[in-house]
Amino acid sequence: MIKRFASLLAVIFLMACLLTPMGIAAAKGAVSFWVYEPELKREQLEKAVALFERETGYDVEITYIPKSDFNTKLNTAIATGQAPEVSYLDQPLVPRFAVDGILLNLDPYADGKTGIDRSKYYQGALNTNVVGKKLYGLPLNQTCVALYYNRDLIKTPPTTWDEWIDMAKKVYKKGQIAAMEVPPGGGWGAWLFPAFVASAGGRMVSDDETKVAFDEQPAIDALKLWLEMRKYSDKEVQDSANSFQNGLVATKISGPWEISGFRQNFPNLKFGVALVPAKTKDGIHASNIGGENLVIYKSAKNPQAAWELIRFLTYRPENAILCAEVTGNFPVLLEAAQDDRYRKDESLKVFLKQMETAQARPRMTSWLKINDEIVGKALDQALSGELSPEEALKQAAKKANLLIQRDK
Amino acid sequence: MRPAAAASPKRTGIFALLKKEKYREYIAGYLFIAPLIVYFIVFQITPMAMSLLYSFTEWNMRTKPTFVGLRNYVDLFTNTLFYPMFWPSLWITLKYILMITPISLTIPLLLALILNTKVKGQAFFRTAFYIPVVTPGVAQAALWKWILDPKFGLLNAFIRNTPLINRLFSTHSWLNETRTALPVLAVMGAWGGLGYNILIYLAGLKAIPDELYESAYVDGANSANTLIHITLPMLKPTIFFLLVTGLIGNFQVFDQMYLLTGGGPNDSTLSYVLSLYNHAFRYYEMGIACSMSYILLSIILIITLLNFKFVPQTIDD
Repeated sequence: MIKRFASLLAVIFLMACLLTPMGIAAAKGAVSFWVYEPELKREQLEKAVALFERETGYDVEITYIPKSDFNTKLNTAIATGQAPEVSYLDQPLVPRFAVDGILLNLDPYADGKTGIDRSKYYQGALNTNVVGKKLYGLPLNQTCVALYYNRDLIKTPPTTWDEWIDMAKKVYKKGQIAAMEVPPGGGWGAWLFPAFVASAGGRMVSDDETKVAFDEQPAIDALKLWLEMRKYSDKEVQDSANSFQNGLVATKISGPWEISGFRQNFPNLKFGVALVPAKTKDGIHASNIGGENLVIYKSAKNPQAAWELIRFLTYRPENAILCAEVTGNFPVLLEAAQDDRYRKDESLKVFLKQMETAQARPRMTSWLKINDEIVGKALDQALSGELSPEEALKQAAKKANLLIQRDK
Repeated sequence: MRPAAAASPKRTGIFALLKKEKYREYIAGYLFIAPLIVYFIVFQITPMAMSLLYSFTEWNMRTKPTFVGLRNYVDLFTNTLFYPMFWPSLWITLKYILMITPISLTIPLLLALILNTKVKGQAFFRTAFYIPVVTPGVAQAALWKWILDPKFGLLNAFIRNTPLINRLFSTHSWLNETRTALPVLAVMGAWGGLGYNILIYLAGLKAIPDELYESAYVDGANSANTLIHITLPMLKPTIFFLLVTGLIGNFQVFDQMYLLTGGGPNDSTLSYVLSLYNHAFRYYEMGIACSMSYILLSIILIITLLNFKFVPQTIDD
């Protein structure tokens, strides 16, 4: 019996021996790197990383995770002490992660021997990594929204809100053609909303970011525009699958990530891209901003290798372009954005111009919650007719300000 | 047994215990069930205990949790500023249950009654009705999304092109109207569980002894009489089982909302568990999410106890 017991122990021991080396290898030698599951250019990303490995001798272990699940998985990994060393991180999450003290401050590296010249990046994108004057990441890509329009339905895109409404009246056909894909409420609509607010000359938060400003007139006007456009956009038309791609919708606000899909899957769609219409002739054609950053976690075992990796991926123009293309957005390096593929492409160059007037997202820690539960809810209430735009936004602002005060 | 070992009775500890036949059997037994016990402890008991602990903390999963006592519970119930969707989401879940429960108790019963007669193609229909049960939620969602598409969907096409129907009903963007979204999801949910409920009803029907029907017919009863006086009373335990398990399951409804509407439009389909999920994985309020799950557990427990107390569940009642 003792013998049998001993042999059982031996088997367990053997299995443990077989399993552990894998764990040890992953922890010591390699930089673990979490990225979104890319639909495009996966091989090229791997090729670039392989080049990095050859140049520096470090090992990189890429883990692909679907975008919709990324933040959930990442947070769970952090909670269980299994954080990667480097990962993508959505812009609004950087301040939260930094405040929580789990991100590595990169200032010593950025100013060190293998440092960077910060002025080579788009400052808007770089600044999404700065929390309390400290650098916590490097920008990976940036994006904004602009106006897509269907060339078969409208000849020239509207440049002001009045022109837009005139166009809507002309192009609208009940049950057939919608003038605009009116954004829904909720988190998505709330992300698009600042583009309209800024185009009316307003802003979402006060300049010192201590209270919200989306109860002021520009925001109310922006929401009224959506309601006006809703009159010429039947839900039954715009809610059908791929309504814009199938030529049922005249205008739509969205980002550059749509372009490759439109071109590949809908060759008959003749679309154009224009700047977001301004409220008045002399107003600005503003947009919102989005994008991802590359961050390093404090728990990283080899921070120097991690730093060199993110520097390699974002600081070399050819890699900066690649990283932007993998995610369907724009490069964050000024030099990379000068590439012909952006300046010559008639759609992409509009986005590039639109980026100049893109408004930075508020950097308060609760912004995601305010965006989803408060602004998104207010848009929902106004779009469903439950409250007037003024009423909805005023109530929302009151709530948001209380929430901001709690965070202080 | 080796004599050397038996000769040293003073040795204690596990090896000495192993000598005794009785203990050897015990140990063998425990070893056999060990995998399941380990699984149960690691993946069921521990998470439950941990989430109870976390429900008394504020925890964003990135920093250390801080103990806040009962604050999460109190805030959920009272602080509509920070947790505005707690009460509405509970109400939405209740509405969903009120819609789905009658459908999922009656329609499967009717179908089971039909399938229990000697209808042609019985095997085919049984399989067909059961298919949704083994279809993954994502595939179901994709299918319904297509059926409900406002412009190209089957449902609207049917309404538009059928002479009488198009007078009575109008077409909708079903999933994007606050009035229709939740009922549509309830129908979807009922459809998804149809096959399972039919199967349980069929098992119940098969268990009713034929003699009861035979003697009833001898006494001159017709089919309606036997349905009301024999079939339904004999099915009481089955109906009770489906009611209780259905309520428990439907309180936790999540898939359809998460996949098809995300809780919209205007939060009209934000079910309790979807709201819980948002708190946990979107706003990183794990403490709040854990409290919500324990509140849900209490609600389900209470409802189930009330069921056991007030709903007739045995044939004699």
